[in-house]
Amino acid sequence: MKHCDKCDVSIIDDISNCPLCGRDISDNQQVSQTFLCYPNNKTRNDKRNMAMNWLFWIVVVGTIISGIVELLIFKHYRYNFYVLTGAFLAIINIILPIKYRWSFSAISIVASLTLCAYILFLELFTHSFGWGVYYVIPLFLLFMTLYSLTIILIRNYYKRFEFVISLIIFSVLSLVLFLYNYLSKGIIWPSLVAFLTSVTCFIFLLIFRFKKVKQALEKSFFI
Amino acid sequence: MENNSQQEVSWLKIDNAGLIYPSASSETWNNVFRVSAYLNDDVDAVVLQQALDTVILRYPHLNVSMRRGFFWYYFQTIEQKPKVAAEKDYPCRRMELNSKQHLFRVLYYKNKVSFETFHSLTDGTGAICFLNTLLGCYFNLLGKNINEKDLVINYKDKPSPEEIEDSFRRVADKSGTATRRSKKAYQVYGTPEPNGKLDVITLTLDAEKLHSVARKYDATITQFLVAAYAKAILNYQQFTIQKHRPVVISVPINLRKYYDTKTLRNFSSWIDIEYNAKNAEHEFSDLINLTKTQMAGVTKEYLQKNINTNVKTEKNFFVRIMPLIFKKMALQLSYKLFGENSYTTVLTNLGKISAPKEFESLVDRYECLLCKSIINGINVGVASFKNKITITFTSPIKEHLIERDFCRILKEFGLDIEVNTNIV
Repeated sequence: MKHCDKCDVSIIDDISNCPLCGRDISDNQQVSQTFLCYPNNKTRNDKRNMAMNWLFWIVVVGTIISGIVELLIFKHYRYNFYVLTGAFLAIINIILPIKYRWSFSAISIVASLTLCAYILFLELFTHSFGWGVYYVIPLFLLFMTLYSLTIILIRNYYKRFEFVISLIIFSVLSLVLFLYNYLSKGIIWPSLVAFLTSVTCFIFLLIFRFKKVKQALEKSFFI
Repeated sequence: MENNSQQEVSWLKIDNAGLIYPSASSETWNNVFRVSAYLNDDVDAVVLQQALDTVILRYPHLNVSMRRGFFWYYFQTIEQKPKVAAEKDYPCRRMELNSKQHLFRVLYYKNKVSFETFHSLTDGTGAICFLNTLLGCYFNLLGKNINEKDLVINYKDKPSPEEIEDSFRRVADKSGTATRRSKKAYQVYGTPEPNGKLDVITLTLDAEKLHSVARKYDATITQFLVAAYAKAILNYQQFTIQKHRPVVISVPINLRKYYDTKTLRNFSSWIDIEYNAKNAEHEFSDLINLTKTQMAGVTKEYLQKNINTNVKTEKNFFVRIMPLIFKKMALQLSYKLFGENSYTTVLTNLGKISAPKEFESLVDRYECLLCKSIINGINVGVASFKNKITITFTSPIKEHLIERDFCRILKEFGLDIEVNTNIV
């Protein structure tokens, strides 16, 4: 053990300075064997967080630069709406989930909602209303419903019953789309198929996996 | 417990005391503390892993990860086994909450075994219980013949529902609530260490000598240490511009001494011991008397009111129906404004560690490390075993004048001090 004469304390670790006063004790005669109670701590940055922070700023700066270039060359900002919304989607669906370690079920819900919103935006922006609301969004929701059911039914796949929540959200969205399309006298079969499939899946789960569905809802919505 | 089966716990509500921690967590900080045991021999990592595989089944409330519900966070049981790891980083690093990983770490370094845990899982007493069960199993695997029945928790028994109950909710009644202190306390500031590094300085003293010094003042070891610590902070405060603010030392209290419970989860309360700048000129004996007077306020009535206040807040209808995303924002803000701002530092004393007799020849000493706080610059953990008491300062700031002054105060009583640290 070393000794700091200034603080009058014995120092167990084999270090060169007294941790209390900073005095040099490297020449100090050792009274007995010295130890190291801690590893030589090298402070490390969270590489994943750093990478995501960099990616975030690359996306933001890239979007701004492309906006400026478009304004200077084309004197309008039309094409950059695509860049801007694409960047927004990338941040919501890639950067945030990786940075905050979202669960797969959360990612599927957020990705579905943002993609549906993006399709709606494209429809309105390109003045070609119909294709998204009538076909793409309902069929996309149908696909996500079947995807969620598959995940739930695969055994020992981390017991992903959080996907039940996704299923409920997709069925509500399909129902809203169906009602909208029905009332606006649009094409209703894709949204009806999506809604009926999600409801059938949910009833199927209630019948055959009642205990687990109940548990998934209980833990997600307990107050 | 949300599953009535004794063996199978699939998910758990977070206990009343632990609710605040996931919400108060930030990208760079969450509340992680550590208890360590220094063995007389170097740690065998393979055997330690075997011991952990056995012992974790006895602690179902630790075998969980954190998940977000719509209204509250909850614990989800996970199937993957926890792994022991060599200690490489600085202590009490932030725990990743939204991953499907355990919320604790079992680390080894030379002759030291450390258990780091997120505070929502358990408190100091629960952590020491786990560490000792782990060590008991580890020693038995090494052929040291520890009688499992001498451990507080026998790892060969099955877990019982009482051990994972939220005792706060059970003991809360309608006998009255406490009023919270909202005055801003003095805060210790300094030059921050880079990348959130935590500086650790541990003082090891002879427990018997310290006890006899405390006895001269008719005080307990905790009261004596709190007074000495207050003296050191008050001396430091004289050179700062925050002289008008009171120095408040928050001392956690183990509620298991006051209530009949077997819980291994959080079950502790606290008392704030307050000093003003004028106390700096007072004699040490006056500071001890002031500490004793305030600590005499720890009665069952006081603790009951504290518990009632916390449980009442949790059961408030508007709090319950508030979606988690808004709850998190509100809790984060209130934790900063009314939680950490209202005290200067924490001094926790785990007391004499209860361990089987055979541990005396196998374990040298125990340590308790608190993590850095969001605002507070310094915290202290105390633990004693055999004739050794360890006082561990943890601080994210480079200056260590308070620790130095604390040492000086103890030296004035003729106490010999050994120091170990992670500062190089």
